[in-house]
Amino acid sequence: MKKLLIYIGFVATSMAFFSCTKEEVIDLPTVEERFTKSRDSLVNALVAPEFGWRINYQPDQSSGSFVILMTFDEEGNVNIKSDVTDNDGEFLDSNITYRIDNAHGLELILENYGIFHYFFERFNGEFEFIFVNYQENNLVFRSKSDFSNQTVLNFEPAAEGDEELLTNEISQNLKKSVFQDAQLIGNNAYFQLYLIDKDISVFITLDLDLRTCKILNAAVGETIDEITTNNNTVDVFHKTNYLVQGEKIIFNSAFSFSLNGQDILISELELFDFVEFQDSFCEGQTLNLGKFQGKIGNENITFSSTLYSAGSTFSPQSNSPYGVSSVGFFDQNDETLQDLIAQTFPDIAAIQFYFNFTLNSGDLNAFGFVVLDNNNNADFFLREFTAPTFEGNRMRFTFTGETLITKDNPTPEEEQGLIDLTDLLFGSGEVYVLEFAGDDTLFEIYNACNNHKLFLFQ
Amino acid sequence: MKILKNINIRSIAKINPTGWLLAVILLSGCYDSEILDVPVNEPDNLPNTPLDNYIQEEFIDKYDMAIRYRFVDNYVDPGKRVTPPRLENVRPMLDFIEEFWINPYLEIQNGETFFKDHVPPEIIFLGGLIFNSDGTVTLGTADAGARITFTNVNGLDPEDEEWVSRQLNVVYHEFAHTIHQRYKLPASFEKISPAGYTSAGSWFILSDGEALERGFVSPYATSSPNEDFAETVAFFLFDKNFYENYIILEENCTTVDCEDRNEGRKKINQKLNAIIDHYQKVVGISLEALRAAIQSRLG
Repeated sequence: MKKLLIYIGFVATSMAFFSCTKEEVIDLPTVEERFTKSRDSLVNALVAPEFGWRINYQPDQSSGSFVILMTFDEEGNVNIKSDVTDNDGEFLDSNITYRIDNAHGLELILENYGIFHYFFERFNGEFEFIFVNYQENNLVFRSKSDFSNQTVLNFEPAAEGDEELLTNEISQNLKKSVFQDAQLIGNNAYFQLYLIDKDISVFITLDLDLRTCKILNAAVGETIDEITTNNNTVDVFHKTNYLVQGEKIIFNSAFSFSLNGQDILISELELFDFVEFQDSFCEGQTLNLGKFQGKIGNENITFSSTLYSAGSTFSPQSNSPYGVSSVGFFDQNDETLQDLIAQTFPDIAAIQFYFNFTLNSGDLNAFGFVVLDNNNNADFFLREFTAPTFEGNRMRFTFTGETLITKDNPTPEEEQGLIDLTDLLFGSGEVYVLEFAGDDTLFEIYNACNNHKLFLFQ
Repeated sequence: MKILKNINIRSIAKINPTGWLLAVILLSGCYDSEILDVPVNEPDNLPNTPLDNYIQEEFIDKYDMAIRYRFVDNYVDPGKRVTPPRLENVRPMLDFIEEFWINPYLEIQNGETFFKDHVPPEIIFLGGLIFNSDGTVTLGTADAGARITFTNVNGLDPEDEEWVSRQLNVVYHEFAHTIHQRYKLPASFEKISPAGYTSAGSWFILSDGEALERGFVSPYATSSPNEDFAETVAFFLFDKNFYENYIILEENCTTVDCEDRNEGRKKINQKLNAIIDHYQKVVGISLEALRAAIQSRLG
């Protein structure tokens, strides 16, 4: 009976409480009214800062960061500024429309194509953002289209001079000396960071679109001759994203190494006074290069585009050749030689590079083409060369005069085509092997005498 | 598989760069046609920009046809990737569809009435192509006569024949669906080339030539009688070489392939005649007059 009374008392109390709650619900604004109020509040917040908002936007964890300035108005327009010079500069200063939706909470939707949509297409970026909260003067959003590892965007009120952070001089000048194919894999380039007082060079490969980089190695000396003579190098192999902000390149993670009794730690570079100059990486030929003056703290530096690095990870492969489809061979205008190769080898399946490949008869060093016959059997057209030697990433070898052709009765055109096509890349006997920030298995073979290039996968 | 174009992977999506040289992207044209779906409502509280006012006056007021150019994510299915159009491309795109889709109807007999009675209430503009998880690319869609979606508005280039052909193919194809949806297919249409239709989801293994030999203007036309109808209408309207490609028989055939192509052309001709008669009978529209009006604009 006591339990029953307790139950009755509990039910009665609950009914009384529920009844009160129900009365309160009736007084609440409708969902629509509450959304309108929340939306208006967010719009008011978005339009409030005098100089708009500043965002250090990282589209994806594998990419670097980009400074973006956004200024909203109450009419649904947003002005977006960035230092991304792609698409003929359309993203430097653009106006699109936005709206605030109510789905997974308040959502900021950028309705027309702009820099964020460009990031969406290229780097897994996003252009729909869910509002998270207010944090002091900042607005925090997270991406809507990322199902995992959602990007968090921190909108900070911009300061009056923040547009100076978007000087695109560095971005534009960095792209003036790109030797790694711009059409198919984006803009990648080698740079030599020279610490003047320490007489140390650091070699870096940059992905200028993704804003990622790989610090390859460091060496004592400035010129190739000095570095070769000093023969004092150290591998660094540090990968990091970076942010271009004003005159600075800021590395997401600092890198360090010890060389020649000196401990070096670098977290950012200040770059200015860009000049274009010419240098030679093949006798009688010059390349147009760019050089910044700069500083790390108080130390003077230069930062120059180059083809050279003090080392290379392009190494012998005893079990499998390096290879690529015929699309991967380019002329001096970055046009693929696919059609030219097909004139001699219409059924080409692959281009291959054998580097100390183990055969029963000994190591094979050869370069050439794999062609399929009518029964899809492979025929090899290879041209042998001597074991490669390296000075830094400069690879040298000479053709032996021997060919390895498995096809019965090759035509004279095929034999001559093998010589002519391989000479386009290796005729000078000296090439530069370039690496990439974003892929450790991809290499570019660059002939500085005729600017032909071949991409090879390990 | 129909290969329409090799494209620069890094320009459209973030993919491990290792893949780009080894891969050949196969773009297969496809239309997600006739998916029953509720039209997406644009969010309220839209600003009245000059562009919005133009759309109101020239499209909504005249044809009761809304133009959606502001991105709404359920314009495409979840998991599909697409971007909105550039703002500056919207007005030229409006001019384009007005010139090559609406105006030809206005200048032929019964065309204006037909257009106003059958036009879908929603037109969606998308900036890029719709990339599907199976590697195909959706060129355009129509949903049960309620909506037509244009993709690749950001690639707008009226001087580019390929871009123009794709856009016109999409809109003529999708608009043709309204005919069989309201008035059924021409009598016995599906019996003209019954053996040529492909099993579900396999149309893309055919080449253009194989489709022709079966009596179809494209591989996609083999996917069903409804798609066959819409593709034949679309090709007839936009392809200036339609008769040379699909109707006129090759002379002096000496090979089996040539004879097969001619047999296919005879079937297409039979279908075309049935379609032309059907349009005239059910809506009073001369497809030949419409083709002439379109071709005079294409030059």
